[in-house]
Amino acid sequence: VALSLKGDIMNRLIKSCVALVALASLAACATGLNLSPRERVVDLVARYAILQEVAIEAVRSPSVDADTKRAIRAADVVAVASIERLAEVSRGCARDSEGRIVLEEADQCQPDRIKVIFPVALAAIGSLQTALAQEE
Amino acid sequence: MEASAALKILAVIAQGFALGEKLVPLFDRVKKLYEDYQNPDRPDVTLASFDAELEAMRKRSAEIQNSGT
Repeated sequence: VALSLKGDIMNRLIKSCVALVALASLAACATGLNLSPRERVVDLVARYAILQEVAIEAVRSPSVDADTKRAIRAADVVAVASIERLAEVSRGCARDSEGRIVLEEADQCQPDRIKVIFPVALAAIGSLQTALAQEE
Repeated sequence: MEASAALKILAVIAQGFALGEKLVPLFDRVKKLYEDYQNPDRPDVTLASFDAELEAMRKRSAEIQNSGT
């Protein structure tokens, strides 16, 4: 009884955290802020950190099954790889001294690549969210 | 209820609080980022803090890949 209760509590805990992250993501989108690509990546990583902390607890938990843990690990690998790629092409896209966003094509600022990779990174993060919400 | 069962439930509650303690600063961090973004005088994100965020992400990822295996 105690073990099934433990699994149930852990499951609810993980799901409520995932729901919180989803809400936080939606709230962030709703603000419609004008961010530079570099700022956007930092914002994405900060939000992804919340999911990663939940994922760390999930992979440590004995009540989460092996398949779910594998799905969580795989989703994290893909998400981190796409965020790394996004970082490579956006780390040079900063603001000028007057705060205007500079989007000139350079080695480490490739606006066209950013447009392609950003949705991929978001989708990969979504996969981790889905993996965390899987039933036991 | 058995004492061991009660202890296990207490352990889960403690685990929940530990996770909460880790998450609250992260939610605060996101909130702070948005406050910075809405401040017209804020400086741009520096490359140093950009790289520090990425490094922290890599560390958490390593923990996900290596924990509980």
